[in-house]
Amino acid sequence: MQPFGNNATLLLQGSFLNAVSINEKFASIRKGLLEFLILRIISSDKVYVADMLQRLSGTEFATQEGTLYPLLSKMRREGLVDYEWQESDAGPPRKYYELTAKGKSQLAELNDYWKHLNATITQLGR
Amino acid sequence: MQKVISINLNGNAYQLDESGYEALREYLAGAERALAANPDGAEIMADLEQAIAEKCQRFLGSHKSVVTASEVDQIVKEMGPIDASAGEDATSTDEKAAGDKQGAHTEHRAKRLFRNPDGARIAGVCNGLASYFGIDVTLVRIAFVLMAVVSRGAGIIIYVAMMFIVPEARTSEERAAAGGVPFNAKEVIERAKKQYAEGQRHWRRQWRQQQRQWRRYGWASGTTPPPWTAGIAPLFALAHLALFVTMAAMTISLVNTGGIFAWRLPEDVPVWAGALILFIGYQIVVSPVRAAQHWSWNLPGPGQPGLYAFWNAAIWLTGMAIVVWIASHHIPEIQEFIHRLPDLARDFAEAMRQVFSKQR
Repeated sequence: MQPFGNNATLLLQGSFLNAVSINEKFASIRKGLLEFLILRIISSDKVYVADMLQRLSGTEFATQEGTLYPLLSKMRREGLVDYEWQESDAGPPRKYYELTAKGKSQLAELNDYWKHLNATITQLGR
Repeated sequence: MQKVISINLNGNAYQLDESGYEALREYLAGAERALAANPDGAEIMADLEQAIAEKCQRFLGSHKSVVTASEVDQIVKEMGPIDASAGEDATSTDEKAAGDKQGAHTEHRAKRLFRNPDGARIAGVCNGLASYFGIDVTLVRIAFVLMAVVSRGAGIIIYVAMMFIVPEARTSEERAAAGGVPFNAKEVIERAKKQYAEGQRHWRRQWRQQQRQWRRYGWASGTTPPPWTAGIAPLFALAHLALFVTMAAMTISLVNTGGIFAWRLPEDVPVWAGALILFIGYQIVVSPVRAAQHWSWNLPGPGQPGLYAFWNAAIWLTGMAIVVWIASHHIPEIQEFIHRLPDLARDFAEAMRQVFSKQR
């Protein structure tokens, strides 16, 4: 899922400084995509927050508890996700998040929209 | 001696030392302020406390019941500042905050020694050491070879021992920990600002780091190369092989005849020095090819990722097998080369001994 294939050529032509500014230019896009990615991560199974952070760590979208918990609570208020308590063998019960029906339809919409965006970017030249 | 303070994190009791307690209280108070207007503030606070409790657990064992101040600092750093507006808008002023956070997240990641299988020659020991100390992997390899020769083989034993002792970086997180900090634009900018006085020196270091990154992941790590490169991907492996064969032929020629084909080595340059220069030169020439190879592994397509890396390895191994077979059966120079190797090593060890005794 790499829409910015041009990065490669840009980086090839460009200098080290170029790479820096590209990363920075997409900072707000990455931030905006976080909710979409959380939906995708939760889509397959019930997920614990530490596991979400684990999945995201090492990617361009690495984030922290301080960001993720407020985001999840907002998504729950909007009815996109819900959680259930599950016993854990190490410590107190944990919240496992899953998608609601609304969350699933939102994810489908976002996936389509993402594909549409990709197609547009590809169409607009290379 | 520090006083120990017991706290209750979402129903779990933990003991912190006094300064650790202060740091944690400050973090939680800040979180509470940031979440004051949030309708789910109380619940998020409980979640955060729970997450902190789990992180504390990591530092506690049967013989350790107190979380220290430095551990609390690490926990607070891992938690990150509270982004109360997460997901509310993507373009506002917290864009900067988000970037800073990312910087903070990666900047303080502890360095650990791992074997790095990306771009490894044998088991990635040299590669891991190079990342750990922030020096070029070629230098580490040369140092290892020197050590092995000077110590008459003890270096090889050390390598084998490290192969078993040092863990391999398997996950991307471990790889990031092996390299200390992953290449991250925000971080580079922040550091550059902070260390502007250091000037050139700093940028040169970053540049080397970036080059390492390229060598390891290809030019554009994490990006997809344009589709037309699919056609030329196998060529990279062949080019690598061709360069290697050329280098090998030149080395053999150098060792056997004291010169490379028609060109003679100057009288006062020993053969081992020529071989060493040849080896370094080869590393420089081959590095863009190797980077291109790694880069082509990111190509999209059926069976990817992995398919191109597999074919790449298959071409390389087959090519090497053919070359070695032909060479050992049909080229008498190879036999001569192998016979001369001990002499070469002895000359080299002698030269090193002289260098070191002169210093004393």
